[in-house]
Amino acid sequence: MTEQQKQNLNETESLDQKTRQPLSRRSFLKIGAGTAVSLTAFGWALSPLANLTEDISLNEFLQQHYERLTPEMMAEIIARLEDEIKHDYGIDPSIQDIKPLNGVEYAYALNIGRCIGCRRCVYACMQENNTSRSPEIQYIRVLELEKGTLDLEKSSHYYNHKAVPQKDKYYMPVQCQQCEKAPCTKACPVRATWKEPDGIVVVDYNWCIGCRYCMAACPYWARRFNFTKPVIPKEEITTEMAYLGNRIRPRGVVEKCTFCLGRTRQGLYPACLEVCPTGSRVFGNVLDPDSPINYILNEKRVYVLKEEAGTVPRFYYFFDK
Amino acid sequence: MILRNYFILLLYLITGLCFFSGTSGWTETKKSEKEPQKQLVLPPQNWLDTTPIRDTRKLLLKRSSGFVYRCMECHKDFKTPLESVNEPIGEHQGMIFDHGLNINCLSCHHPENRGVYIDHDFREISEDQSVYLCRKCHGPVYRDWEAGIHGRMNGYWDRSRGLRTKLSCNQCHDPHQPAFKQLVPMAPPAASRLQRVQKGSQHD
Ligand code: HEC
Ligand code: HEC
Ligand code: HEC
Ligand code: HEC
Repeated sequence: MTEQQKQNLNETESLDQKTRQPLSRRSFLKIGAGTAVSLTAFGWALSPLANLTEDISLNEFLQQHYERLTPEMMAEIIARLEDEIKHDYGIDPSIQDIKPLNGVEYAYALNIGRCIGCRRCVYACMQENNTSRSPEIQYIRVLELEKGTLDLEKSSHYYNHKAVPQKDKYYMPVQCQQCEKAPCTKACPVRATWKEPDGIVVVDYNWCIGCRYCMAACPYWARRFNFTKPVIPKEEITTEMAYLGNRIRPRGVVEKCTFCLGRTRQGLYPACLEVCPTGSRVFGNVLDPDSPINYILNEKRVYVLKEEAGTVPRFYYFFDK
Repeated sequence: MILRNYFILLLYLITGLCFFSGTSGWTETKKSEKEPQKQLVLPPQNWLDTTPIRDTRKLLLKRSSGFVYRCMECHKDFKTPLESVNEPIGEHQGMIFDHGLNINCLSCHHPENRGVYIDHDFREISEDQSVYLCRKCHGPVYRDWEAGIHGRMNGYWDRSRGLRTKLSCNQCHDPHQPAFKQLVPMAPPAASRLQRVQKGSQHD
């Protein structure tokens, strides 16, 4: 070892010793004061929360991400949400956290040759999903298109005829396509929206920060934002609610179609299907080879909306002929 | 000296993190799967208006007075003429008949027993099995219906949990004028003023 190296070594050793020295009182005080300052600063930063009784409670602010919630925590959250809804809307809701079923992946198919554009589905959806009536939030848009074209740019969903279907028009309801490669979930900066094992893209409304990146990312215009606290007449509220589904949303969060997961995860059909007078809508489990969905995929001409977007929807449009 | 400052900064950070770990930790913990399967509350089954658009009368004649009578109460006395007129005549004048190329009353109604329908091989199809009547000429649609993709399903998609019910053809199609009727659409979405101005192309 050369002199130079030895000296270097010594220097590092002495440096080490310095840092390993026990804290002097002075530096300890310094740190203590620092911590105190940081805590007060932190408390001050949090203090607006104390005033946010209406929009968001401190408990809600400190809630964990959905994936990390234990059943006990969930029970607590649900009890709190039920209380809040009871207080705000004067009804007695029952919120459940319904988990996906094993061996089930949903798919939806819609026969565009049959749909007559009567919008019954739109309103059944609003009722089931407790969406705001004013301002109006609707998950389903029924597009009216010229027969023989597929030009969505020329479609309209504000048509107002005395009777439907109109000659030389056809109708195409569009709602969340529950994409396999959902661009919306990737856009979310806080992972408040994700794809469940059964294929449904959900939003944790307690986790959503309302940045609306997901809305911009969605090629189907399927997500809706609550600019205000939802206004729903008391008698029109569906009291059986799902945590990730149709519970009444707070202000400032994004919501969307979940294939009525509160219903479908209990074996029922989505509300939009149940009311369709034409029977254009077909729903089922793609993993079940005998399901009507697989019959369609095997027998009919099927297409997906905006295939070029590469989103791989779970929502299929089909024709008979 | 610089090092000590770093140390203080670090402490700031740690205290901050401790506070926030409740809300922002990204450790992937597995959801506890031992949650006991509690009894879930089903949504109400009857609030959605699932009434079919058509009420089947079956083979009953209803007078405006509400008086109901069966076909054979008259037709046991009428012999079916050799040359069937295939028109809504006599008692049935008020009926509108428009079933495409299918212009023959007796390709559906049994010539001898008017209380039932008739199959290819002249066998009777009882009045509550009218889907078999339609099957006789609409094979492909019937196959779709049986597979559950023509007409509407209600109840449970998951048949291990409950019944799946189908509407019969008659509940949507009037057998005498089967084209699906026009309906009055429900109100269009309440558009913002801006959107209403630019009618025509509203695709966002
Ligand atoms: C009030 C008596 C009455 C009743 C009840 C009645 N019919 Fe008739 N029906 C008539 C008369 C009268 C005619 C015309 C004479 C004829 O062609 O036999 C007729 C004709 C018909 C014809 C046309 C036959 C042809 O020659 O083309 C059919 C089909 C028919 N009836 C079916 C029915 C059915 C089905 C029912 C039960 C839902 C029924 N009718 C009930 C009186 C009745
Ligand atoms: C496509 C098969 C088919 C043809 C063709 C047909 N019917 Fe019917 N008819 C039915 C069926 C099915 C019913 C039961 C109606 C229901 O379920 O609502 C019925 C019911 C009736 C009824 C009793 C109920 C009512 O709607 O008044 C009469 C009367 C009747 N048919 C007469 C006739 C006459 C007359 C003709 C020929 C002009 C005729 N039908 C042609 C299938 C047919
Ligand atoms: C005897 C054969 C026959 C029977 C039985 C029959 N149909 Fe038809 N149906 C026809 C024919 C033929 C057409 C006309 C096809 C065309 O014009 O292209 C038709 C057309 C239709 C159409 C299309 C009408 C339109 O204007 O678009 C419907 C819907 C229909 N039938 C429903 C039924 C139903 C429901 C039943 C059972 C109550 C039934 N059919 C029984 C032969 C039959
Ligand atoms: C839930 C209502 C519903 C039921 C149930 C139903 N259909 Fe239809 N059907 C429709 C509608 C809607 C159309 C499309 C009509 C249109 O485009 O105007 C249609 C079209 C048809 C057509 C016309 C041909 C075609 O493919 O467009 C036939 C034939 C037909 N149905 C037969 C039947 C038969 C047979 C049954 C029973 C096995 C049946 N339908 C049950 C609603 C129903």
